[in-house]
Amino acid sequence: MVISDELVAQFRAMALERIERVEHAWEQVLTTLDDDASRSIQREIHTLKGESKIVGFTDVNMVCHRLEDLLDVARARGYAVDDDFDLAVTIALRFMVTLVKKRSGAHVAGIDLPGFVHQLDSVLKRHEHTGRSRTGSVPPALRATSLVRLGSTLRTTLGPAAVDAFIEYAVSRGPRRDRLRSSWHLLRDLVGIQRAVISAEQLQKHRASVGALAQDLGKQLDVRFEVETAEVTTEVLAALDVATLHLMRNAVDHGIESPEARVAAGKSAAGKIVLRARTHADHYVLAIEDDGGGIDFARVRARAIELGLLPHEARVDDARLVDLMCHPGFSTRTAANEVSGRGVGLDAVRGGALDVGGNVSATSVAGKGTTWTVTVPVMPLTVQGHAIRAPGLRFPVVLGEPWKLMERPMVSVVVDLGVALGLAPSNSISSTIWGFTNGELQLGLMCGGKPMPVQARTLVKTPPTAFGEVVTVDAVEGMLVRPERIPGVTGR
Amino acid sequence: MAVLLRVPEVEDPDFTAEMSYADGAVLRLTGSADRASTRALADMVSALHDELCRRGTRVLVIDLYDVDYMAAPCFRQLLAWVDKVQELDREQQYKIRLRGNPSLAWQAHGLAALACFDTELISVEA
Repeated sequence: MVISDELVAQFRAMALERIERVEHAWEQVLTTLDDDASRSIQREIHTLKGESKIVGFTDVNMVCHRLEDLLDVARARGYAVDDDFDLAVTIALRFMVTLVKKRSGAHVAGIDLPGFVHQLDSVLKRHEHTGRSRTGSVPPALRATSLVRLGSTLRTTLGPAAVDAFIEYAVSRGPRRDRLRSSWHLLRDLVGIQRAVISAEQLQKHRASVGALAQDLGKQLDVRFEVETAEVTTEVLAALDVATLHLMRNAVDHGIESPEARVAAGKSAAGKIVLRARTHADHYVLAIEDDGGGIDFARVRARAIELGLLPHEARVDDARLVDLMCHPGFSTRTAANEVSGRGVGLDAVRGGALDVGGNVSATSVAGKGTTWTVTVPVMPLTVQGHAIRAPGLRFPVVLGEPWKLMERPMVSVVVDLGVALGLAPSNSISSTIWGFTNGELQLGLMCGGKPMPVQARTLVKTPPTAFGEVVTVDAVEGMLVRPERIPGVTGR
Repeated sequence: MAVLLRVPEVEDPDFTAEMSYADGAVLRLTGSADRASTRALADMVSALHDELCRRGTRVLVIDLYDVDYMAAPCFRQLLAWVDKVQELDREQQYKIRLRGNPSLAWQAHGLAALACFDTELISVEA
């Protein structure tokens, strides 16, 4: 088949645009949580592969194919790829640019396609059999299943160690840097904050599941979602996801009555479930409300006594009974069926919420319905402050709230952060002194250049008593310092 | 004559560029090219390419032996540089000899792949 010059020119222009979009999306997917970017990469490369075949660019087709293999590995690992892998994808994309351009008349006869494909194959081989080494960003759906994560308490405890590892890596050189990078990335995987976005789209997947369940149980259902999108950690997302799954299934199984019973009770034949999720101050609140028969608290109490969780004479309120319902193994069903009765669901809801510092509650009115509420704290994932370049430190340093840049500094203490952190003394850049205050203390910091206002993203969280955290500033890893916590800086 | 070209705007003592024309055109990069160095490296590549064209340079040696780390966005600047050379008319193109350190993982893989872009223009010396 003869391909017209016009068609080739059209392909070339579109291909270059596609590659540019993929390059952008690749950076995005490695530095932020962005499922759209991940999908965009897949779509663009697959389309480019097909288009290149049509117009006879078999070399582009071949590299696309290898790139798809590489991207499959990256996706399967939740984009937890190391720097070499990142480099391989980056080079492959640029190589395709060269291939796409080559027929425009420029002299590039020396392209070594087999050699390049061999390089990609060796990267692929190396990474297909190695464990993860980095988590830059991982789509939430993948993270939940692919990462071994530490509990939040242990993560907080290990946070300062991760900060130390980052500093050592960031100031090291030569082969030592390679070694320390691995250690830092390992710790970052284990204790670093992984971001996710909770949204209607994220929770809507449960709609089909409860719809099918309702059908199996011969019930009719009207489900509504009102979800405010928010950035949370993957742990919070996982907790809310588990809560949605179990609470909605419970609502269908235990709450919503049969159509006949509902009509007899003067209700519509279809039961209503409304899921509301929104941010309230520094918490995210998920409420699942149904208009079913309500919780039979007398039955809950009787079952709790039967299971030995309550003494016969105990006087307890509804809140305590709700608490007992979340006890491991508690179920008002005496025999388990496919849907419930094992006493696992509410235990999982509460366990997930407690793991992230949240809680679960319920209110119920007999014959009117039940509302389950899961409240989880949402930690701030960004920090407003000023970024400085400290002499001798190769990463941005951020001073966050409450530290502010002083307009007319009058400071008696001048700090070289590199020295204060016990690193090599500055030996290079010309520094100027800029004043900062937290309201109580005033410090002069040696800075290479003017401090710039930034919004940093928290990467490794530490307790407020630690001297710093790891953050990213425009995707560059750096450090948030708390000068008042650095030994010696303020006379401590 | 040796001309010291500090990577502009970075003011980072650990990533430097030193250009020498004493014994052929040799660009010696040292240190660690983190993402923060990307813009500075791009600016330097652009300025240096123009300078090499102006001088009618035939061969450029890029000595990366002491670059212990290069982030992908920085490496992309090297790829863009190759692209610039390829865009030149044949008689204006200068050859690029990469002097590397194969014991560093990023160089072992990255430079070999870079050479595949144009074997007539680029060669790698271990």
